Amino acid sequence: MRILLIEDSKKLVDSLRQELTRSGFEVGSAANGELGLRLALGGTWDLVVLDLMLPDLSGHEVLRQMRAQGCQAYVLILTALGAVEERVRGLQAGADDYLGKPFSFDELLARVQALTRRKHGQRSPVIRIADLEIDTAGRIVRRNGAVVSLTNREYRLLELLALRNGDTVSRMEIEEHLHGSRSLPLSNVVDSAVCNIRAKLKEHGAAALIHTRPRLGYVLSAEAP
Amino acid sequence: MRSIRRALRLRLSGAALVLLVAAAGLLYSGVRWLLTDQFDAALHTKLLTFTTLIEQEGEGVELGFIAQAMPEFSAPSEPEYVQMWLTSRVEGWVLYRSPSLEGGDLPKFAGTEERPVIRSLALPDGRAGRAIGAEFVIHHYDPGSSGTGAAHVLLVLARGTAALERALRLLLVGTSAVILLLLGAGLLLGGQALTRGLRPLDELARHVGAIEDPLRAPRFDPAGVPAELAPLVESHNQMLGRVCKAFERERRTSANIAHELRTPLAELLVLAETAQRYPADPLENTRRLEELREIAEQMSTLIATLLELARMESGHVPLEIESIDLAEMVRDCWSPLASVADAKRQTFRQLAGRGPLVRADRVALSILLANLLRNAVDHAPVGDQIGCEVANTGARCELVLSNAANDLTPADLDKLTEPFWRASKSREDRSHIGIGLSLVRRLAELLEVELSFQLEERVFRARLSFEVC
Repeated sequence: MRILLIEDSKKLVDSLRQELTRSGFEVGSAANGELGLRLALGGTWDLVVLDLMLPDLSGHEVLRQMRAQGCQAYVLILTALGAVEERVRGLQAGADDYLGKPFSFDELLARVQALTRRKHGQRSPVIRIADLEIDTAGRIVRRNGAVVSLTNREYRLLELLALRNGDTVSRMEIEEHLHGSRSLPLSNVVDSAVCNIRAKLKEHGAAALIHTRPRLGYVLSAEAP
Repeated sequence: MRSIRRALRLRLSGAALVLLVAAAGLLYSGVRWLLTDQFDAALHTKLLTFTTLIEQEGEGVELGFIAQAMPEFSAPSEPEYVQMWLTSRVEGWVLYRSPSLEGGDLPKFAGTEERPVIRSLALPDGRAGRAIGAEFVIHHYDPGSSGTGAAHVLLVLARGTAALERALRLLLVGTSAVILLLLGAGLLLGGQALTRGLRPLDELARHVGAIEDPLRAPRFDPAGVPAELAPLVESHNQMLGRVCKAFERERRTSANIAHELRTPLAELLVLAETAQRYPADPLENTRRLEELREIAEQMSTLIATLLELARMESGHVPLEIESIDLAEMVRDCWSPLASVADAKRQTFRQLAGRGPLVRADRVALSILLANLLRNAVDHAPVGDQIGCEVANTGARCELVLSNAANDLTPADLDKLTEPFWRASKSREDRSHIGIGLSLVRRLAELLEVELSFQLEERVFRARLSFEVC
């Protein structure tokens, strides 16, 4: 899950980047509107957290141009302008959510997760596949009731597969999800992570849930494709 | 409440009434005079006729008319009266008395044939009438053998004026009716004309009354507006424009204040939550606390500046006006900035010697000048020269501070004194709150110093016009 922060407060960006990264997101940032728009249009972002009062180009203008140029990323407006008309204006311009400053990081995280679920058609924060249960809000994985201990990268991979709901996810997509633009082609990072997850899941249940589709990618489902 | 419509209606009605009554009075008087004159002329004609009908032969005087041939002098109702006296012989000897007099007498008075005396009187039967009197010498005189001269006759002729009075009364009633009709029609038509004439004013009032949100209110269309209302419409539209600008400025200021206060609050909250969620080693904790303190200090400075600005906006600033040497004050204000300017290799064209004496509060003026000079040092490029000139223009003197301003545009000049407006595009530049020039503007207002900004060929000039002592 890739998030772009367009915010001119460096301290806030640093704190949010740290927290969101810890929560399993890959985070990019821009300190002004022009750079933010360039990054938003030039990369594959799942979510853009957008301040409205930005140097060079206002957040409203960034959002307008993003939507005008077909950018489909979710947009969460994070701004000090909390008046109703400002919220309405932001949402009508194409934003998907609106959060006023000051805010609790927990609320921001919950909204980011809700938008993530919406992107994959999930309404419940808990995804169940056979005896596997993934709590996307608490970032907790259980199998047969027992907690499966995963690293940050392993969790993000498993969550991606779970959110795709039985669809095959390509290796490239997984790499980009895990590492963004810094992904290294032909590396075996994905295979290694999948191998680890399989091993950890097997400790609490016998049935294989992650299936390899040769030259296509991986799929998480109760039955083999 | 005073009403232009009501006042105009009252005044126009009053004026119309006075004019109509005056006109009617003149008309009535004229017609009355004319009719009376005609009446008198008819009496005079009849008198002249009588003078030709009297003949004298010797001492004998004969009347050349037959009383029966003149029935108006014997009519049973509203008769006329005539009486003649031979004045040259026996005083009071009546020559002729019309039957209508029934033995009575008419009053005696006389003018000449050409200028007879005419007067109003009560006729013997009690009616009002007018009488004409003249004394003349008998025209048809034959001396015969007597040798006496022509006799003198005094003739008084009287006629009732009832018909004349009836005509005059009719005229008076008719004229009054016409006045009332004209007045009613005038009120009606005048009211309609007033309504039609004041319609643009009503439309303007409706337009102004319907304004709920000046930001979205349309301007009043000046097309078709009468010349008298055009300045009002223009002023209204200009005022609306100014209100919109003021609202827009207030909105920007509010948004900026919200941003400047809420963003550091968000920083504080997220930092605190991070510290709670992820306890760190003492070194990291020290760094976090340092960051928290830094943010809190910035907020404190911001709030203090905002309060200072609010205090100045409210006008509750005690001022001690005195004579101040402007050149010396500029030098004093520049002194703490010299090292900063040196670091940027900037030069300052100092005012030498003693400058003009201006009237101002020393503290307020020093804050004003220090802010302008600080602004020049911060925004002038490295190696630039900061200009400072004084020019005397009679009762006032002008101080001009100038510096190169490559990032400034003419459109920025209107926003310079808005709180939190910053030439620097980055809000990360926390060395400027963006409130310095707002203070300068307010201080200039308090000190009654004329302040203006100019941008020509990328050179920014701040002009201050002082009253000279």
